[in-house]
Amino acid sequence: MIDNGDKEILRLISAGSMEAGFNTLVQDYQEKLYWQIRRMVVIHADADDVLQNTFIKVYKNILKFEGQAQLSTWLHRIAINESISFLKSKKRKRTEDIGGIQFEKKLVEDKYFDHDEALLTLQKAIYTLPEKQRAVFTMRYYDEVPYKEMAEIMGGSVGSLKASYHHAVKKVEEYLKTHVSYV
Amino acid sequence: MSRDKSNMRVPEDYFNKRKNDFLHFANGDEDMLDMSKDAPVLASLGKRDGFLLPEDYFVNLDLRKDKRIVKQIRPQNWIIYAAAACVLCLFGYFGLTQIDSTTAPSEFLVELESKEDIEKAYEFLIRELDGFTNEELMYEDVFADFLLEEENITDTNLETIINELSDEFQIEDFEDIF
Repeated sequence: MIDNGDKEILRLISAGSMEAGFNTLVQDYQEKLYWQIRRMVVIHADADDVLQNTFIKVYKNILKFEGQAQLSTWLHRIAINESISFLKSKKRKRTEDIGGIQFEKKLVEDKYFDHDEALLTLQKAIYTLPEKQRAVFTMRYYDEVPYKEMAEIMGGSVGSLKASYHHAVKKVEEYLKTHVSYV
Repeated sequence: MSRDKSNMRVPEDYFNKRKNDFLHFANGDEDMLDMSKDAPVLASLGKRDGFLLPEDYFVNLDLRKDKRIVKQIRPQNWIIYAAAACVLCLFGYFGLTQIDSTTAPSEFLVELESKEDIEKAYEFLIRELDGFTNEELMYEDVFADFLLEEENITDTNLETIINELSDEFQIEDFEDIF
């Protein structure tokens, strides 16, 4: 069932009120999409850029949205794809970040990160996951996105996403066990 | 109760029930792990992620979104510079900016010969972006929509496209905006 807010957004856009429809869309979704992106790319400035790219893509393609999926699913899919593209392009640009040293340096310098040692280690642990697995982990662990919805956003079956989350949790736990000092 | 050749017994309808349990497990929303046993260190950290936000980030994001998006959509390829130049030229024509242009728009378009001229005009637009209202920026979209349809822009066909632009729009088309 289509959410009433989404209905209004789509009605405004299809009636030619692109600016009004898009404004409502941004207002309704900016926080949700930001947090999804932030958990993937971690650094605030990067999340800010990816969020902007996400909305640009939405703006350019909203007229092609045919309503086969929920608007929210479509938006989250774009946000995830943009985050993955960003992470991949970053990976291509830099030399190999052995042990996540560059990542840690950037995170330590980020003034929008709480410099709790355990949380820093947790972010480093999540950083070791491949991009798609990172998306699965963050969506499930932090946002408790149902697997069925995740399958619509990410593609793939519920079973494979469950397995992916299972492996991700195990990897994160293993990393934490060997790196968190109080354990 | 049913039994097989080895005389071992299972509860009535055991396999059907178990099959349903397995399918439910595979397709349902339960996780395959118990966090407190399988991932105690992660569980001890809870859902904290350590992320902070600049003050009023979402309020400010809301205020600047249109300009940010317009700004980012524009520089797809350098024909967009030409669009910006047209806009600036028209702004200049109506005396709305500090651009010193005494030339009529149609003449101005013909005089746009170098990429540098166009880039300079575009840079001005971007630099002064905050000085424009959203309505003025949406007005730029008239050009942008037209130009974004042009996929294969090269240096050689730019002149033709600029000429087409000047034919496509008349000054009168924009008067109501001001």
